[in-house]
Amino acid sequence: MDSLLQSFNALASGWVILAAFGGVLWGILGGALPGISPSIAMALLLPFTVGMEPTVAIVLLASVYVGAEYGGSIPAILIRTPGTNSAAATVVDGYEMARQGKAGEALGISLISGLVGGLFGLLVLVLATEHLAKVALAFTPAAYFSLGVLGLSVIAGLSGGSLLKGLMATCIGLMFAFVGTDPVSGVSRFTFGSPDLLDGIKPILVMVGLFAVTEMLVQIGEPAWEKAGRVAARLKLPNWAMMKRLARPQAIGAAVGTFEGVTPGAGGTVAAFMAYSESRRWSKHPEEYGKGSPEGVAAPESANNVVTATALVPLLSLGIPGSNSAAILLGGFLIHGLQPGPMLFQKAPDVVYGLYGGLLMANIAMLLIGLVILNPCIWLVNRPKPYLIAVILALVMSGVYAIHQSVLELVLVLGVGVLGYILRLLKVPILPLVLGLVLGYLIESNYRRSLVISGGDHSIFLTDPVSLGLLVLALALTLYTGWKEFAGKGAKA
Amino acid sequence: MSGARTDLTTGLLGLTLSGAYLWVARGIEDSLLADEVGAAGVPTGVGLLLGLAATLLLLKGLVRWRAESRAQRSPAGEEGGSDAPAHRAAAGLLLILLAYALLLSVLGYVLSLSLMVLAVAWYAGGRERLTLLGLAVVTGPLLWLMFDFLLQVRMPRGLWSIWLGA
Repeated sequence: MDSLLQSFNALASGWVILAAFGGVLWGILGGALPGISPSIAMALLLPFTVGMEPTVAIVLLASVYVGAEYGGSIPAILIRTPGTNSAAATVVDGYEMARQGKAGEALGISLISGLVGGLFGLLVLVLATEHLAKVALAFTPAAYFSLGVLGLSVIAGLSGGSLLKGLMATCIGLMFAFVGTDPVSGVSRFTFGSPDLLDGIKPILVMVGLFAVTEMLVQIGEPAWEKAGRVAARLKLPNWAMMKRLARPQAIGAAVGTFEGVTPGAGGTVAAFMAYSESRRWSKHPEEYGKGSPEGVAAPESANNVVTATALVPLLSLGIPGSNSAAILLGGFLIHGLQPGPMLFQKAPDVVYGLYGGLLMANIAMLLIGLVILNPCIWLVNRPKPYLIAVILALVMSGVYAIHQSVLELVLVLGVGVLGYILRLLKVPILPLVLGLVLGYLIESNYRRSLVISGGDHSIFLTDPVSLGLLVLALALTLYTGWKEFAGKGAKA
Repeated sequence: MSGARTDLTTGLLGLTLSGAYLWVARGIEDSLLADEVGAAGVPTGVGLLLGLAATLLLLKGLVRWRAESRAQRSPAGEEGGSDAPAHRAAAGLLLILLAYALLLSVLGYVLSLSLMVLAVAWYAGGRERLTLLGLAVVTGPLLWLMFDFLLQVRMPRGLWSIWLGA
């Protein structure tokens, strides 16, 4: 109840409401552009949040995520090109509805299902996060180390089929994290004599390089995306009878989205496809799926919007980002000197509750903006790609420079962009790298702190019951995913 | 790139990175305040782990390469050839962005950003002269206004500071 009141308090600030509306608008426009994922849309804004008040900055970034999930469904329905990965499942029935002249109806279903999913996800976030964080408050340094290891074990699920490549990416991320002054002895490491690197490499620079610069380097070599043409689409909200019909697929989407969201590594794309598949399985008319079924739009859209909130549960309570977008949001916290995790509720409860209130406002904003944004989105998708790339890069380069007015950081971001390009070429997953980067400090400092406490005895990680439990869980998670990967390959062979 | 070639290349690059990293980590000096692990301890462990993962990937790549050789492997040079124009395009874009970074403090923010927008849009295939010019002329000053006035971030004025003042 107290948290609810504090969340509403945050809304008293006009800036939070403005951030929610602005973020959703930016997210819808970004999500509507094929190639601009929610994480890229968030990464583009990240440098601009530096001077903002923490709550406003976090709400802005989280609202981009909310908006991008709806934005991605617009080109998916209109031109059969998902704007975001998680909108790929919406293409199947959404585009079929558009071909039957029901594009407006499909867009309306997507919007309302997204709203239902977003609000449900927010409820789960509010109810689950604080309790989980309270449990984590009792953690010793050994338990924190093991929590970091558990976070890294998530790489097994994020490695896109190659555990070894995921492990290598994690090591590279950890290497980035070790640049700068040693947390225990104060010795400088990997700075190559540059005073600018003594404070380490800021995660924001790596994230902007990996997500935004890499994407532009890839996009410039790819053909232009399809144009929307003159689509006679006017958004049409579902009537009461349709809402009753959509209740079941929306509920399935909410359940699947909750499970996939709180599981680090799964994310909105898996949730959307699983929700589509489950909704079809439990439908009274499965034969209509793939032929323009409204349920086929409602289930994935409600699922991927649930994830926008539930993916924040492991981030806020344990400090573990389970998806690209959650990692960018973590970057937003770090910029403002805030470390997500159990202590966040003690040190900055106003930011957490402000985020809850902001997310509520963002979902309302999605509904209101969604009603009028269709034509601007079609106009934007139809802009020639060369001009869009130029403007996006102008924003990226300006934003990065604005952080510390450093040309070295600009060059660093470009270097990270090239690294991301090479990794993508070699099919090395990027998210484990981000995970290594953001968990590197937590793991190293707590590992060494634990050994100082135990006098160098490594058994402290096994005698501390919480630490032992987390390590066993990490081992089980890695073995399970490794076994799944192995069994999957065996089945293919 | 085939799966085997990707694994082999990634493994080789990983091994090289691991070697270079361990070499630099050896040079980290110890402090009087150092704990038992030391400032180089954890980075050395990570470097070794990277080396181990890269070696395993290399071995996996060799096994796959042999399997692909036995099956019908596509002729050498055919794979990856189609990617070359995309890599060239990316390299060209990177050069433009590097040039912007280097010219920023000389030409000032507005002019170098306008030139960068013009160059990137043209390089990416934009050929409508009016749109190109309009975009370049509008983007630079607009973003400068946003940073300098709205966000209170001073962007470099470069040589223009002689006339505009620092």
